[in-house]
Amino acid sequence: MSVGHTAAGGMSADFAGTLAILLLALPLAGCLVNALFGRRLGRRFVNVVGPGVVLAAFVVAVVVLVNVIGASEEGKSTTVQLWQFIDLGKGNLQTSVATTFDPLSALMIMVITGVGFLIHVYSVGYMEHDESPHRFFSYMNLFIFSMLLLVLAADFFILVIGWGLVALSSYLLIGYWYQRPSAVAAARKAFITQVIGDVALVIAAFMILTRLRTFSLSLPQIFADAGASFDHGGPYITGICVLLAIAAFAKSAQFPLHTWLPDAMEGPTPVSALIHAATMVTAGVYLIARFHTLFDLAPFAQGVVACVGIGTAFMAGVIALSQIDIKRVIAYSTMSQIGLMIFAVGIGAYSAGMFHFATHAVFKALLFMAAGNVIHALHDEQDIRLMGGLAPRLKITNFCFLVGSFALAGIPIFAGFFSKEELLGFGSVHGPLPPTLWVVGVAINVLTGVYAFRLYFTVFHGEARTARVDAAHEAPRSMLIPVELLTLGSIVVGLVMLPALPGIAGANTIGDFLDPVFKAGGAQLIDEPGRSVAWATLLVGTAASFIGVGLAYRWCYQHRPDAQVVASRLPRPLTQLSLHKFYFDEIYDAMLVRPTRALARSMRRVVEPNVMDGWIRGIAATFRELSLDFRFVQTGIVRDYAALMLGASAVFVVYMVVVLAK
Amino acid sequence: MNSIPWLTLVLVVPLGTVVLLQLVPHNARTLIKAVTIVGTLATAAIVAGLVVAFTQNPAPAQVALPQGGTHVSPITFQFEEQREWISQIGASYHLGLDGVSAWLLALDAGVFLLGALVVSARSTDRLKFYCGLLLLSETATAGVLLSVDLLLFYLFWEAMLIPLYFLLSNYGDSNRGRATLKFVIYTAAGSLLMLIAIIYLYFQSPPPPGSSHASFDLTALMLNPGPAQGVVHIPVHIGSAINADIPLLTPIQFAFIAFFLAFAIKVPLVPFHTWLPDSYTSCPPAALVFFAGIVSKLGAFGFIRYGLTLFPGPVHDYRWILEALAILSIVYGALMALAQVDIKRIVAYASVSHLGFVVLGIFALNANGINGAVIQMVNHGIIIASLFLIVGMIEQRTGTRDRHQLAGLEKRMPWLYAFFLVVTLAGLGMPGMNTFVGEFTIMLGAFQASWILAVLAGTGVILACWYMLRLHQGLMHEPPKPATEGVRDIGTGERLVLVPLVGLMVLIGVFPRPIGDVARSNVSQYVTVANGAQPVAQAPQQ
Repeated sequence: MSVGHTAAGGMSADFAGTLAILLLALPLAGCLVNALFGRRLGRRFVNVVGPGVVLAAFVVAVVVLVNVIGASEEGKSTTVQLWQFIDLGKGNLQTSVATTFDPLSALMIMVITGVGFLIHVYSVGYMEHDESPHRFFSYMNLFIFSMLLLVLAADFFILVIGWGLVALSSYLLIGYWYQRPSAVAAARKAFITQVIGDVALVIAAFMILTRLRTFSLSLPQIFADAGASFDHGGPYITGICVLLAIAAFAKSAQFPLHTWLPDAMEGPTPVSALIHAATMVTAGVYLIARFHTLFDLAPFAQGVVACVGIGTAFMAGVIALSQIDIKRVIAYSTMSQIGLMIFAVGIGAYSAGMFHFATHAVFKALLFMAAGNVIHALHDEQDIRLMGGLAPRLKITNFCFLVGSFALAGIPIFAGFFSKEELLGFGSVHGPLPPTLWVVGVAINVLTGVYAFRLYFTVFHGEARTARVDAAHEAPRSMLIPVELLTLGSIVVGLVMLPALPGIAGANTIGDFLDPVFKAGGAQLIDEPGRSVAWATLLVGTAASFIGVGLAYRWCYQHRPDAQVVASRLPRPLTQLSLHKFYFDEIYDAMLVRPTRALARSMRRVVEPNVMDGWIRGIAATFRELSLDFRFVQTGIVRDYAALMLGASAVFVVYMVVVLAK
Repeated sequence: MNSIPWLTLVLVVPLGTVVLLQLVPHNARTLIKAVTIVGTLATAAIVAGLVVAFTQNPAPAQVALPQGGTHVSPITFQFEEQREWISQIGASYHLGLDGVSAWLLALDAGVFLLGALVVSARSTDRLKFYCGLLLLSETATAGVLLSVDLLLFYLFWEAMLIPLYFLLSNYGDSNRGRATLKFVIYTAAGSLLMLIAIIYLYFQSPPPPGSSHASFDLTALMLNPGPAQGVVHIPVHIGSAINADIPLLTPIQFAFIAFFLAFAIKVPLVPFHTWLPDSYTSCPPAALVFFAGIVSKLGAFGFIRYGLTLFPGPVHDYRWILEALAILSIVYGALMALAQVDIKRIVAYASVSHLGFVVLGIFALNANGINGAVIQMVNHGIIIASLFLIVGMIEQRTGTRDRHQLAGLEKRMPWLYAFFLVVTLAGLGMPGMNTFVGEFTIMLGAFQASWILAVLAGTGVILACWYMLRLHQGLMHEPPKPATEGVRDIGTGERLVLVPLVGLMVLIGVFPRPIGDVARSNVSQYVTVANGAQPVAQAPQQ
């Protein structure tokens, strides 16, 4: 069945093929069963099938992880070809459905199915009063399938399919409440932005395919041939990497393709947790990490990626300071954290970036679901100005949200601390203009502390600002258990990296696990910062996080628990930019959307009737005119005909004389 | 197998069904519909058998020339049939199937079967006449795909116009007069020029040894060394003062332009498209299934079968113009689709934009582009038929095609919503759906020709996403409006019609291999012929 190349000490091709098919088939089957029979079989059935298939996929993912960890150094990567997709002959398009298991994809599928399962369980409670749970779980399972296809793909063509299907499920879920015009518009905006990224990705595929010596879209083949096919630092490979980066920016909501993510919060909260925080939006980080072989050849593109990442992280942090919708604050924080990951993979710190992806998936899903509990308790209220004083009423949610905020701010022992500080440590010695971007990173740490705890204090402390708050009660168990598990995760996941703290054991757990992927083919990893530099950056970064939290405590807790208090303390231009989200929506509307619409309208009103239809009517009219012009000669009067004959003869004679007389 | 003239059967079965229909009384409506379905089903069965039996990498075969002798055709046809027809002038009844026409024939048989299934036996006037026209169209379109003789091809090409004319003029909506006139004048003008060019090609080709006259056979005309390369001048002599020759084009370039116009109008390429929105809007949805489903593809097929083989020189001379027109169609069609209010017109312009991709693939002049064009022609037929059916169902239930009056149908029509969603995704080129395979391959071919073409086509993809979502979301989402209150969902029959269509969209999306397997060897022959100065083939033998 499966053809594959495996080294000794790895998984056998058949075994890997079976696992891959199981992983993909389970959520796909869940999607189809829910879509086709869910309505008839009822809510209880759907509530079992929806999360059930994801749990089963998680079990398979664990098997994969165990096998990958157990494999020998050279057997870490197993690629299997499942079936030939299309074959247009040698030298033309030939692609296969093929999958790869390696540490990178193993980490991804663990997070996707693990966090994904908890969010599915949470959704059972959250969507309890929704009228079409079969539709919801069908879309959610489709998303899990798409995401798995994306990260398992060992062929560019299949990767693009996964890439596109992820965008589709995101579109379906953002627009889930389809009777709300704002949700419909948000879904469309997200999808069109994604398609811009898709086109960039497809053109990058063409560029690779036509230049690669072997004319192949197989990813292992591309990575093996890249060094020999592309000039290091040349314009061609830079172009490819910039296109890949554009695709990554669209998916990961990075400048300038970031405006869809805040609007995507129109979707149900579990969707925001799963797709727009934990998994889909990190696919851009994955893409760059997966194509590290190409990015290593294009330092300029890497610099662009690093700058865009850190720039977006800073910008989103500033915007998060003034937003008043609980989910939008978290959405901008997601954008900011993904900016940091993009920065990490941009400077070549791939393992650090992927580790931050993993911890972020845990604590950001936690924050979203805890926010979901708040929204649920307040009957769909999302405006934080109308909250406050929820801590005594939602005790468990309060605790979980606090832990999530600590993890987000990067307070020691919480998950975010380990991943973010490692990432910033690399930033102090690598990337464009080494210490500069790191300084921005430290500033982002301050911002993160401020917006995270501004949100926490405004929602959970101070006076209850509406009567609804008094009536709030804790969410059902199915919504609390996943949140509690993720709270536990936010505390312990980071601890695997405890030995990596400078001066403890010197063993980089995650790095040792992932680095074989990034060392494949003899690639050089970037150096870890020296011990003293590592300590210095760690201390400065952590101090910045504490300062941020302290500022939020002082402004929002002690001083005046008010949502706008932080914004009012910033310089005025910055406040305006923050409130208006740096005016990107307005700029795009004025520069792209409106002109295109106006162009289309003028085509319909002017060009189509006058030019396109005009030239053909012009021909018709010419014939008509000609016949009208000559109609006058048919007067019916013999004298006129005689005169005409005479005239014509005269012209003819003159012509003969002039021409023939030569 | 060889003894049975399968290709002739494909032409004869629909014709025979027309004869059979004459025996059925006018008011036996169910029986009329049943007979039509059986006739189209039988044709579809034969075609399915042909596609399955198609040899994937055939050995080049010796072909007999109508005036004697044999030669090796640069394009290998299968299931060939050759009989005497008008032997005095070298025209023969020569049918053949290649990897490109095989899939189009399958599409042809499919859309006519679908057309027979969706015709409403209860409400269509003069049902027998309608069904007869449907079956005649099937014979004519299949004939266009199967003929290898230029005169025979022209005959079917013109014959196609007649049933379509009667369909439009009898069954169209209130605007049908204008629409029919436009359609007929446009297409007739194109075909007439093509006839002149065919006659020119015939006369300029030298008769083979031992024969007094040339041949209309495509395989023979392809082998000719090509006409005189001299440029046609318009002499302007007025006295001794003005004495100039205005150089125009070579005769073969003129001939190519004539063929080009005929095909470009049929596809249609912008700016030859203005007949299409009027005709499509006026045409009843049941007839649009095959009108939009196959006829436009025949123009694109003509470009491959006749444009590339008979005019490799002019195709290269005008390559940039052809590619530019394809891009213009993609972008202009998409912008027009974005600006329309009538939902049927949105689909009509979407069709223009999609066919721009097909033409772009053909004139990329490489294997990826043309294979992609073949895949995309099949896809487009399936998608456009489904879209017009769905739009028709909505119009039938709400009584309007104005998108401002339509909204919120998802709640009322969950089944229609599900089907429409899949069709929308297929239409906008969603990865994992059939269009993606076609457009990816076409854009790869275009990229190999010039990267700028792929980038420009990419803007068409983004616009397609915009107008398709605008259509889909506008109809389906947000709260219902007065016109959409209380509409009923589609019934079992309608669902059963849509199931195979959306099934094919997904199937081709995940398993497109058979299309490429059948098409690729003939496509590489077309590429060789189009790119080589002269096809490599043996001289005619005595």
